[in-house]
Amino acid sequence: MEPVRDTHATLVDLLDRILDKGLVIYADVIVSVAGIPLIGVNLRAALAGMETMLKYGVMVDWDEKSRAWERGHRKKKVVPLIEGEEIILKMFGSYLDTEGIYTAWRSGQLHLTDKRLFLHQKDFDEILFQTPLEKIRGMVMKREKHFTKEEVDVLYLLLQDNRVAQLRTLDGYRLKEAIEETMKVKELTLEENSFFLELIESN
Amino acid sequence: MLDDDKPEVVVTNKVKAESKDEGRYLYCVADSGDRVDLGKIGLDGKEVYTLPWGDLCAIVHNCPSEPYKSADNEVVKRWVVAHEKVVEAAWKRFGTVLPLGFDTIIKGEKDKSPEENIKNWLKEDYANLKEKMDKIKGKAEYGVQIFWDPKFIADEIAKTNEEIKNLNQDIKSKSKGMAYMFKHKLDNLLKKEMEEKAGLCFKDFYARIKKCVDEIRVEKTKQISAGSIGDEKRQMLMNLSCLVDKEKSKELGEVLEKINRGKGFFVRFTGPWPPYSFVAFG
Repeated sequence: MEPVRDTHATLVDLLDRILDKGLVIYADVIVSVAGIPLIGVNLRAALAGMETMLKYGVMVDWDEKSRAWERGHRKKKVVPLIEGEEIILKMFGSYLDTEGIYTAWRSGQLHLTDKRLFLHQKDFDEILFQTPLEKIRGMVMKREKHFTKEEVDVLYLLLQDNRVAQLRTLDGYRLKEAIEETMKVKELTLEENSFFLELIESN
Repeated sequence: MLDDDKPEVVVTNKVKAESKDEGRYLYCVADSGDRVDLGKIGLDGKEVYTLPWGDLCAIVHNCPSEPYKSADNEVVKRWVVAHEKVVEAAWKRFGTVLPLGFDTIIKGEKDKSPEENIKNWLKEDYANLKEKMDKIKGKAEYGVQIFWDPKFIADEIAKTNEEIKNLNQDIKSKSKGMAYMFKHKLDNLLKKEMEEKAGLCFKDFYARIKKCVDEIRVEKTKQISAGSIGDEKRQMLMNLSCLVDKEKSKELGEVLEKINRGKGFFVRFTGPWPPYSFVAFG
């Protein structure tokens, strides 16, 4: 099979690369519009109309965020911790991702720190799930039949924005205990939420 | 009352005067210390040339220090193609290039010209740039997208999966209402089997491709068709960027040929591209 590179048939492939990729310069001498560095975003801005994007505030804080992201990505495969953050517990785990094309369990290293709970995928250096501890409102552990027909413990988290996250680890009870203890130290409390309990039980 | 001893400054005109050709549009960095002109091959026919520092050079053209933007998609497409053509010309001429994305413009400052700023950047980022150059030397990027025909795959699964076969058999003897329930169950089961199969295919193809490439980036899959291939619905299973030794692209082609021959599977193989996907970060 021979590769093709006809400019007509492969324009999309070219756009993908020229828009989102290429060498990133971390310097203050890059031309920018209202603090947005013109790397990658610009062609899309040209297509979408820069004014519209700015008007709706899509790119507020873009500059600092994208630079911070770039700085973070220069370090190879290091767990992305916030300054001063301390890891309390680390274990293999997975998270039920309902946002992609498939609903799927995605796995990585689950980290409980003194600030947040997050699931990090090392190979792609991707945060699959995270929440600040302050935003956890409720926790329920439930034994469920997995599609491999084994029984596993699923930890349901009720988050502040009413989102429910599902996490799975080999030792869910240890994780739950550790979260509870950390929250106690931070003087955070979980709500009594019977509705959440019922919802999970009936699921 | 405040600051009334300071004169008022009107900045508008000053900014306008400064912006004319006070920027340098950057196409790529090449491994050559030569100062050469590449001709009028830039965006809108701009004169393209190299700005060397040590044994590296930036490929640029002069422009105002403001972004290229246009509401006309055709104009934007023309720019993108021109950007790519310049990077390729430099690639051919110098051997190794680190391509930049569209619309990266370096500006001048009060006391520094844009040239100085570029040279400073090459100097300060030298080790990092050289390391990236070493990684991609003699290599090119190829795009690999693998699709399947979901209807064909579903039929295949329905033919071989015992549980599904039994359900299909059961439905025939059920009342209309029950048949509906069974159909629902069947659809769910099929969906699950498809997802599982997609996962297995991904792992299998990935492993086979990995053997003949230096590095793989897994890109997001897209919900677009594979181009002008008729009316069949095709679903993208995987979207990869592969960094491949120029000598080894044939091997990758052979592996993809085999995958493409599988019934219900289609491969799109594009390139060679300058290694846009492998220069971005550390």
